[in-house]
Amino acid sequence: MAARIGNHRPSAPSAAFWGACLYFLVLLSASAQTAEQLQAEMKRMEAGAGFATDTAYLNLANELGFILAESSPDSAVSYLDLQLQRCREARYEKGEAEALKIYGNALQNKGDFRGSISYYSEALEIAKRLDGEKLVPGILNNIGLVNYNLGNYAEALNSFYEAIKGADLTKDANVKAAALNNVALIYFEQDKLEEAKEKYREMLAIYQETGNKGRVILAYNNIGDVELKQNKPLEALKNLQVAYQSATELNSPEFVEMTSRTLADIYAALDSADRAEELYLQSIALSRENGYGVPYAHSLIGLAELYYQKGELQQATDLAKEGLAQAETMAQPMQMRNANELLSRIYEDQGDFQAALRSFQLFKFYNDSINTSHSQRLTATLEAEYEFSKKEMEYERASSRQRWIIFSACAGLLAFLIILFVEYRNKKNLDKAYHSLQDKNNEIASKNEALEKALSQLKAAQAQLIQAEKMASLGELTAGIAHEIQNPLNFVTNFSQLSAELIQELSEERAKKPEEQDPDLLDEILSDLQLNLGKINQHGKRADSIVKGMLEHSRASTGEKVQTDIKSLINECLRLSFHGLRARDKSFSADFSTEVEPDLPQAQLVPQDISRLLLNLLNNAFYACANADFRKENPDLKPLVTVSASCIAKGSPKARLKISVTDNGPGIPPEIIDKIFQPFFTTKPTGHGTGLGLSLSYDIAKAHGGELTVQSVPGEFTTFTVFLPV
Amino acid sequence: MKILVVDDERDVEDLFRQKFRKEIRNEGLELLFAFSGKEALEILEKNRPPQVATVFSDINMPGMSGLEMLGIIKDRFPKLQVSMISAYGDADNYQKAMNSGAKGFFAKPVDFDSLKKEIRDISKS
Repeated sequence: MAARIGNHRPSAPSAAFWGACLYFLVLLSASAQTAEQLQAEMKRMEAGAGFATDTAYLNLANELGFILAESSPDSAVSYLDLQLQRCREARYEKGEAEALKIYGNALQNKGDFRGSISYYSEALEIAKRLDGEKLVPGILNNIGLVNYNLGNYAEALNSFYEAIKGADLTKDANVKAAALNNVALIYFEQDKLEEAKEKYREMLAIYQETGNKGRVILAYNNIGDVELKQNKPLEALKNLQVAYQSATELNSPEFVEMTSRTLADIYAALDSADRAEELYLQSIALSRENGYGVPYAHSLIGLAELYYQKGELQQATDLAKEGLAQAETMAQPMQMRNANELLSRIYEDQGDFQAALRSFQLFKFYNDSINTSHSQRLTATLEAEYEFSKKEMEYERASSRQRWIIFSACAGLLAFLIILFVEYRNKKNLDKAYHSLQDKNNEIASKNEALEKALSQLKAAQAQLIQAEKMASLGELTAGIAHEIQNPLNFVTNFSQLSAELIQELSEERAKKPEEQDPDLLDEILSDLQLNLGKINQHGKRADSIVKGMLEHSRASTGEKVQTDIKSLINECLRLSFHGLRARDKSFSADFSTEVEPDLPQAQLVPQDISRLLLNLLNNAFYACANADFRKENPDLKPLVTVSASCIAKGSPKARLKISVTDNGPGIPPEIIDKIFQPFFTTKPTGHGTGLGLSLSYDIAKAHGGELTVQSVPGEFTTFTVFLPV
Repeated sequence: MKILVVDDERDVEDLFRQKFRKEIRNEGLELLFAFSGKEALEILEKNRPPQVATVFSDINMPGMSGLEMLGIIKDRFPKLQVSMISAYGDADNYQKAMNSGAKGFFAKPVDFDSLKKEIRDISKS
């Protein structure tokens, strides 16, 4: 059976709760003196002044109180009341806490568990205030024991656990080992034998380190006890041999008794009856000698079982009865149960069935009572276990909290760095995107600028082209114009010369005698002179109008509409066009005709523009039907350009001038007829046409609110028709 | 002597009549006028052989040009003398005219003295 350790003297088995369990105390004083020695020492000190406030004296008084609490709890209570008062008066808090704890011990030994708890709690409160909290773990272990005795396993485990923790901090190995032992005890109760053994081993390690031989023996004993319960008697045997050897060497009756008893149980389990008998007898002798009640009962019953196995029924009966009586004295249900069970078997074998039944009924009763309390304890310990593991986890957490905080900080830092990095990268990407966007914007802006520049250049170029087209057509006309000017100039020259001659002739005639003068001739000369002056005037005006027209043509259009005589405009353009072509191409030969409606109304026109339009149409017409290549291919065809002008819907608001220019050239192929009004479209060889003539003509017609249309039959004719509002 | 003058400019008639007033009055010179090649040919066709001693023709005329007409005249009336009068006294036109059998080539404005000399030469022959 495992033993538990409290601050009780090992020689006080009367306080044992269960038969096989031993109480051990944690000795708080360094020197273990007897009550008599302590009282003598104190007497000596009481002779001096102020002894009551001397801490050394008060410490001695506490030691004495401790011994009294164990040996005579009733007298200890009144002694401790005085001791507490002294400590308080001396304002010696450590002493006061110690006294309160001892008071708790005394009350616990008296069976006043609740009272003891309140003293322990008071002691704990003071101990916690004291520097280093050195008294705290021990008090907690004692509180745990009280709770254990009260069946409050959860609270007990809490206290034991807090005690272990506190003992770790205060480096109080004794308290830690005691608390470990008590925790192991609870595991043992729960049949969690491996866990119990582990706690005992921890305890063993501590005692081995501190060199506490008695406690090392206890640890070995308890480990063996667990192994026996685990049905591992050979392993248990090894541990108990060590324990028994040490106990014998130490020459301590209580440890020799304890180890011999456990060893006997092991040998019994191993069927080594002789060794078991020998050891039980040793245990019985030592127990009887030293008054160890529970062990005495245990070993008697164990020995009785051995004799029963050997068939020595009488001896077995006597031992069993003695064991039962001892157990009854000690009120030990476990031993009473074991004794009654053995007795019922013995009586049965002896044929005393009535006695056997009585014993069996008693066995049954104690067994049930044990099982009930056991299961109650089991429930409680399971609950406690839960609380305990929670506590343990908390402890784990507490100790790992710091690691966790460091880890968290590191993780946080790492996360922060990662976020920083990601942010940095995002920012970089954004910057990049922003920059590339800016670049693109700049690019677009510069392209826009370039486009605008190109557009303005294009507009300028267009204006230049229009002007160039004008000049080109002017160039084309130059020859025609020259001819048109040359002719009137020739007439002017000729008629003026002629007139001079006529005047000469007139003078000569008048110089004659009057009778010789020919009056008819004189009349004729005078009438010719008049005619000639008219001709000179007429041709001068003709030249003038041509020059003006030329200037108008080359000048930018004023856009001003004036009343215009269409017929004369058509004739002028026809002659200009014809002579222009003739001048440039000596082989050029074409006929033209006009079909102008007689009373054609005048129209509001921009004459320069309309003449440009007509010249374009006429030049195209002459070129189409009279160019060298076409005439070579069609030698029999007489090139003819016909200009007709009429007014349609005359008198109505929709009245329009219709001017058609028709040539009998090759016609326009249908596939290009849609393109001829497009700018720069030309069928002439490169360098011979700007491709703007018809386009500009179309624009001029539109600008006058009119239209320009084309009809063509290839191989027959082409007709361009201009409709202009009247 | 009949002389045919061909020009699309109608004022040529007045000019020639006045210039050759004396010749018309005193020397029996007769001037005929045609205002296109076509008209000239019609006049020439009226009588065979033509009653015209010589033809003076402009080159630049709408429809049939003077040079075309020259070719036709030389084709139909090989003996008829034709002289060309052109505003463009360039070598090209001159060459074409002479190659086509023109008698003479006069540039505008017409030097009437040389024209009269030409007429006199013709009338003598």
